Amino acid sequence: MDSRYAAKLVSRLGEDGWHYGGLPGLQWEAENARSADRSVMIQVVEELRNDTRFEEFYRACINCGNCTSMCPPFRLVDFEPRIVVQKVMHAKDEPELLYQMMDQYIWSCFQCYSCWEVCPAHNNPGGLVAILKEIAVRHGLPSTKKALEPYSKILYKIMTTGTQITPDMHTTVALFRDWGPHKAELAKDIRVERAAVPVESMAGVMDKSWKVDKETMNELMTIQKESGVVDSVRHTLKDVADMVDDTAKEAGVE
Amino acid sequence: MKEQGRPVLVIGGGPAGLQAAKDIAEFGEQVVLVERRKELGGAPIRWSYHTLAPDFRPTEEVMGPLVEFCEKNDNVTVMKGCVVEECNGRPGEFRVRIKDESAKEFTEMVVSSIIVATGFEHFDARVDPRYGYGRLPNVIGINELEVMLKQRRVVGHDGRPPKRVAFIFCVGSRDRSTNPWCCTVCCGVSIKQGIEIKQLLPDTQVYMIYMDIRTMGLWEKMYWDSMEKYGINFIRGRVGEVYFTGERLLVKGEDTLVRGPFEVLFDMVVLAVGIEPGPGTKQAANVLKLSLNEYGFLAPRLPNVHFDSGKEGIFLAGACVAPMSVEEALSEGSAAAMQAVKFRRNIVKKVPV
Amino acid sequence: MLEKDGTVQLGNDEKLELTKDDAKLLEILSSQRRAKLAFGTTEDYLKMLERMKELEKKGEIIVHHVTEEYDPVGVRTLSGRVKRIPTRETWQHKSCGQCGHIPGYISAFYWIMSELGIPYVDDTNQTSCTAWNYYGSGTSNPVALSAVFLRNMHVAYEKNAYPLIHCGTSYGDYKECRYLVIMNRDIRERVRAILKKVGRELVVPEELVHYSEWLHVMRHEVAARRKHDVSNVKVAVHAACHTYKLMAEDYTYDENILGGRKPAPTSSVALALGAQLLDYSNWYDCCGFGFRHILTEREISRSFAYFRKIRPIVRETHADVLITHDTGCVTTLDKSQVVPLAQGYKETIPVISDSQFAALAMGAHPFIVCQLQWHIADWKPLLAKMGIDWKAAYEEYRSYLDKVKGGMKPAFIRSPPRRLEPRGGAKAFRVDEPVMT
Repeated sequence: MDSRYAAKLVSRLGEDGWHYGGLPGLQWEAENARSADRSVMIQVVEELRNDTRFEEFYRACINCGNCTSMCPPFRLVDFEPRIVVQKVMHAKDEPELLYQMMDQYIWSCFQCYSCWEVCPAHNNPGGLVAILKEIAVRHGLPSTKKALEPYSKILYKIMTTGTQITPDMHTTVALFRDWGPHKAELAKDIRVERAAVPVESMAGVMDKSWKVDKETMNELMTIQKESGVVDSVRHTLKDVADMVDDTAKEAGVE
Repeated sequence: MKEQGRPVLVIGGGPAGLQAAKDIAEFGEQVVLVERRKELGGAPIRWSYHTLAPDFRPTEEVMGPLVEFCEKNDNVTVMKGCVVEECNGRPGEFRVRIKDESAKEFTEMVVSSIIVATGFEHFDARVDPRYGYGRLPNVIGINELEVMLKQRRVVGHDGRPPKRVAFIFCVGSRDRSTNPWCCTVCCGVSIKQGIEIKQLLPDTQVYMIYMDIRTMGLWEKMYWDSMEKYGINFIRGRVGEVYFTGERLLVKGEDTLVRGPFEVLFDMVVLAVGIEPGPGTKQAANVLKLSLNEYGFLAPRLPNVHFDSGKEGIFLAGACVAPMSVEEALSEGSAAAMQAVKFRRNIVKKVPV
Repeated sequence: MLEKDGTVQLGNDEKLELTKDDAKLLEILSSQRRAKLAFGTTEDYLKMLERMKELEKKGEIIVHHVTEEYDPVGVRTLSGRVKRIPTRETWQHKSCGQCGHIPGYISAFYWIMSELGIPYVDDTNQTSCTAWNYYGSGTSNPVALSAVFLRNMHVAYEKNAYPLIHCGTSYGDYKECRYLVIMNRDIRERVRAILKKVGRELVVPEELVHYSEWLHVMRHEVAARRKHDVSNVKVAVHAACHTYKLMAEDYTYDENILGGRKPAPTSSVALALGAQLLDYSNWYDCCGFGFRHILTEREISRSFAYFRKIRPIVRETHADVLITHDTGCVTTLDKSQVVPLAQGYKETIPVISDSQFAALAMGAHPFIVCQLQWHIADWKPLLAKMGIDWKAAYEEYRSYLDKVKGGMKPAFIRSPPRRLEPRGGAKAFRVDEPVMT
């Protein structure tokens, strides 16, 4: 066996001796993952396996495909809950395989849990994806930033008031233009419409979904600070985290 | 020998043959057990099977009592290192000539009925050059792995434990180039061994490269446990080639479910070498004028009734008829024993439909 | 079929008597088989309920029981156990989405309770579940979610009103959180520490009740007050994923509704009102909400909603209305019709909640109470079929709006007076709290 030829063969393989990629969509995901920081990859796998929910959500996978058969995004894009569980299964020995999903793959999931319902082994692929999303946010992955940036306004609103998609978001037509010209009509008179709602906790409230007490909002912000949500968000959407901190400080939250 | 004392001849001292001999002896009848090799026990003993699926029972627990019984019981005459060379006469009065291979001696006797339980051979993977068996270091068969597991020492040719092991399923089976049938037990045995490697070497990565997982019946538990409890990885696809780089083994295959076509380096490759008919079966078929099917296994009169050879007074049992597990072989031995005793006692003259 | 006396009727007129344990097992297995549920998950769920009792006994948690004061009614679930649904003095755990842009959903529901003379508590001291940050963005974590969950439950406990959860997302999130808090000591203690900081204790609800289950249990009372004839109205029902797929063993199933194969709520209300309930092939499909997708990747949501739900439903059933019981589903199924219709696709169907449909049937004002003007897909043919003069109603609404513009306060829907007293505690009653009860 010619040693130079052998060396050439082996040089095609990755650091851990693997070379693959032929399924559609996998090529660039694999490339991206290959060029990532290996220590981050390994950390991601460890955080996943150490999460309290992992034991509940991850079981043996026999590739039956039941989950994918019921999965909504699979109808439109190349997302398969079966692949999620398979990659989670192999992640311990091949962290790169799991890391490939962290870029765009996991963000396709609708979190509908149809997969959990039909799995014969009681796996929860959607649940595993939810954990991976949290890990992605904590690590501030660039793709996560891209995925969540359009979500910033809503995120800030939820974290500070505990409500979202509030009437004041309808005053400008742009945000929900694709919900119909009818919506634009509604937006014109929205203050009056809201003032006329016959529920006292909601009437006239524009900046929240209902009249949330100031103390309630403070409690929420305290909870989020203490439980590390703000710190988690800071890694991905620093501006939102800073704004939440400012709002909390103004409200007198310790 | 008197008509009353005519023994039953059992050819083959593996699980099927031993069980048959035991049952017949416990009936109070005489048995002559002829075994080609110098020790009883068949494949489990010959290949030092460490444990048996599905619950990892030590082989001795199952085979030990059987072998002991046959060697000690007065009704059983054991002839090791012997082969049946000739058979004449008629049902109820078979005149057989048994040759002792090493002593080069002959024994002639009259037996009432014959049970053929000549077992199987593991596929010799040198026949399939794809995997480099016999040429490349660290490519072994599941039979050789059992020996290592029994010694609690799984190491490569360089004496070091492997860091990454691949099991390649269906070697010498489900392949028109070698043997087209399915060996039924290799999936379960390979997974069992994978688990045992993980128990010995928890940090070793174990990959099962398979086409289908056929862990039948209650053996299924091993499959799920292998993933949940032992972190064994499964890749669905067949391996096209194993290549030695000078240091490690490069395995080429297609992962049809997740990765697509792949090439990956392993330290050790274990081939699930299947079950095929052995020389003992061919020889018995010749001597007793039994028919073989297209695969070389003994052909019963109807494929669903294994013990019925179609020839009066001759019964079949075990892996010489079709690939099967130890537990199935034991049952077949018992079934054949029942038929032999019925025949011996003239309960049923003709073989049942 | 298991009889009440613990016997089973065999096909050939024979009866088989079962031991108590066997009868229990058969009950669980047969209810699950019909809905394709796996046994193992039920074991976990029942174990969790056992553990909850143990923790209560040890004094580690307080359990908010569904006592007789709440007038509970029992319903069957896939786990084989009977779930107790409180019917009076419930604490409204509102949905941020409903209150934000589907106000008719919630006002119709309050209107129904008021009409039935059932007291309820509408609290401003409630945060949303924040599960948007779980399923949508992954920005929260189990401890945070559980702390928010139990914080809201504590408020309900103090007010001595049983929490009724309005949103499928909240309900699903709370099912997960309750399981984690009960079964995982680490999470429980961390939540306890955080709640202490805001002056609250650990109170876990004995039952997690979705409002659609309340409506299911009260459907006959609702039907008794029906004003409009809906017997010629064809109804298709969509059930929210998080109510019945996430921890499927907790939601209401009834043998007499759809043979126990699909969840009972919402379908049962349509049936009780006398409407025609129609089945379709994609019943079990998600609506396509996707949480994050409906906001930041809308083509996916609306493509799925329209081509996998709306169009097949219209083509297969020709239904007059699509009724659902969750904020996200109403939003997705309603709003996703706009762009396809603009592009020339023809199929359309109005989408409203079960509370809105029931209220309309009971004679509630379509715009002042049911706020249909917020719904995009055309509801005019539906109202016409129900015998509601929508033109006149709309005129009324416009003049009502003018009056409000001029400074008139709306006629607020009020809860009938409560019988139960809030539990003591500094936070129980605050003077500046708007009068809700």
